[in-house]
Amino acid sequence: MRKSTARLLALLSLIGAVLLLRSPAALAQATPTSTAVSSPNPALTPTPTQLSATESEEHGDTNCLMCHFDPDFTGHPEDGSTVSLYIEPGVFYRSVHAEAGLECLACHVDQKGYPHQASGQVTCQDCHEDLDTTQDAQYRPISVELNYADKRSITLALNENCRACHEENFEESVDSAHVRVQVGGNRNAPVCVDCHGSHDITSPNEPRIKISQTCATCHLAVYSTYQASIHGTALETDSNPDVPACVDCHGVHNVRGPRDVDFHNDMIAVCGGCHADEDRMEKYEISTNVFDTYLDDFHGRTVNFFRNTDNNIPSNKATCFDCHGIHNIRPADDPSSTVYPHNLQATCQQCHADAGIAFPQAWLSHYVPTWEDTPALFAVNTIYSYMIPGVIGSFLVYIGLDARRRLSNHRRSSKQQYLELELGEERTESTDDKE
Amino acid sequence: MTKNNPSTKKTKTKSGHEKHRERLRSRRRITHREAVKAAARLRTDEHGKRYVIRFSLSERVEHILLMISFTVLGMTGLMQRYAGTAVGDFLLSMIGGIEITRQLHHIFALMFFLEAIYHFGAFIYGLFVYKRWGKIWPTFDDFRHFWEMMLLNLGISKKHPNFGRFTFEEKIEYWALIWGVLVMGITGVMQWFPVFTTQWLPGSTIPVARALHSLEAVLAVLAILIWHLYHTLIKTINKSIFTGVMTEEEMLKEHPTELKYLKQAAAALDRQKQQNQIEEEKNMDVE
Repeated sequence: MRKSTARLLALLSLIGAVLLLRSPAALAQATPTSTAVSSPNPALTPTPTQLSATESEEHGDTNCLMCHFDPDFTGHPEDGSTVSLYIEPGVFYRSVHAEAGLECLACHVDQKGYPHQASGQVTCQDCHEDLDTTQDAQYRPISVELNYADKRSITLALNENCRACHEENFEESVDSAHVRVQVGGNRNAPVCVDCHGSHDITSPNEPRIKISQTCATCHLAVYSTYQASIHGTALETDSNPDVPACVDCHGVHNVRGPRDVDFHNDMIAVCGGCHADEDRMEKYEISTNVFDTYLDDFHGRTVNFFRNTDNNIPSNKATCFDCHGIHNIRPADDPSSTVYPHNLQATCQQCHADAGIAFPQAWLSHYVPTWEDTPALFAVNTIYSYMIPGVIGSFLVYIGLDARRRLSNHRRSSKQQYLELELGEERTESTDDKE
Repeated sequence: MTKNNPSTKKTKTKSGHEKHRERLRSRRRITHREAVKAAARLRTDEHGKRYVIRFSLSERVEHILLMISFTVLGMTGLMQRYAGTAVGDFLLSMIGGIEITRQLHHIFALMFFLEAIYHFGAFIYGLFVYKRWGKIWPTFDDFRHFWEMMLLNLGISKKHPNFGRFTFEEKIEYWALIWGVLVMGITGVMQWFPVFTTQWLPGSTIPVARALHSLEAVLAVLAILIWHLYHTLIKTINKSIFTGVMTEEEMLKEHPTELKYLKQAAAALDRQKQQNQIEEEKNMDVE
């Protein structure tokens, strides 16, 4: 009985609270928050900048959109260019942030108060200039001066606000090639919103092809090479989940490239991660011996040593992509592959400048030696696998017999050379006992 | 002279066949030059202790060069063979990385190679100029010695084989080394200059060379550690390759036939000298 009464009371109080906070902003706030709480990823739940109930009442989306729903709303940074300040509401409401219950002020933390009193950019006259003078007040598109050097400055300044919720990913990106370029002075180096989008932010890997297409925004030439590769084709046409998209090799937030000293050596683990994985390779009938046979040879042993000991020294020996190609990687039976028999000599010549026509055969193409393919190598391995134990074993037998005879001879000869020693009282006592 | 000759004691037990062989061997003729050389190897020190010159200075230097280069090659080579294992990687980093280890391996390979060239050159020179074949070649006696040694070690016989200049154990060591130098030298150069090699040979010879080099290295290092070090350091401490000399007692124990040869050569030289003196005196008388 008590339980049901408590439930009834709770229900009543809930209805009461809803009725009290009936303002539309509060309603808009209430529904998405409940979904955010139930969302499986707590990292995405915005706690620090989430608006308090009173703030959202005053400055909810509705208020922002009073101006920002106008397609002609523009701003002018200090360089005189024109920036559209129009927000298409539907775009934002479809984004993951809206799903998580975030509103404008969650990211635009400085724009508190109406109209942006903190920055003091907007005055009444900006919109209602003609209101006093004439009755037939004409509509005039709002245009404001912005306290930023240019459009990019706005993006870069606002990008810092991503850190508040996405601390881990943000910190990870600090070591990335993109941030290094940015620190080097290139303001166009991508920041969070350049890849993820700003108001239209959605899951970055759904569908998976979206990853590569995002990178293609800037790296178009590389992307078109990748599209034609075995990995790219499988991703584009079959949306194959097994093939790598850009980030699978280069990393996501800590994106790395060939200018990173450890990238070259680490590639063996990146390629090996999939190509030595039997479950993944079984479907495509690709040998998983590639990794071990590589590590067993001159190039692989060297690269692996550098990787294991001091990875900050790049090795000058070939790693996977030096032979197989980078973004243009194709199967070995494709005539345009760098490892197609006819192209091998040119591939080897990248490092071995004078390599002749017979040189590529010095590498067994990841094959484990067999009697059919490489009889000489197979014979050497087999003969020595018997010869080493055979020779060393017979040496040991001979030495064992020889040592045994010498030791027994020594014992026999030393028997005749016993000398008597006087060892004091203990010795005499024991002889007394015997008598 | 007869006292030291073991053949006088054992003539009673010898079969006719053995006697015949003994006679053939004992009738060996040597040149005057050989006799002079042999006699010169018998020495007496200031305490009147007799010893034998066993190795020349150049042979001792050769051994030291070979010892240093083989040790460094074996160590740096096996480290590369076992790169990727914890021990291999640790040792490689102690030296300063795999590239420096390879450079070291190449430098000492050059030393080893030059030593081998010198050794071969010295043999060719001795052969053509002095008609000196050397005594390291395998002979039928070595197989007999091996058989006798096995009988002795198994406790079947009590007779210790009478070794000559080199025991069959030393000959095994030497010829294993020659085989090793050839295999390691050829396969090593093939791997050092793969582009050059594949201009003359099929590319598939390189992996064969690599496997041979790697496996033969294990065999060679184990052979040195087990066979060579047992016979020179554990069985007896034989320092003659460094000092160049062996006392008469040691020679009697380990190379009795060689000692007999040297003494016979010296005695033959003495006899010839006496004969020459007598002839000279005769000639003087005639004049």
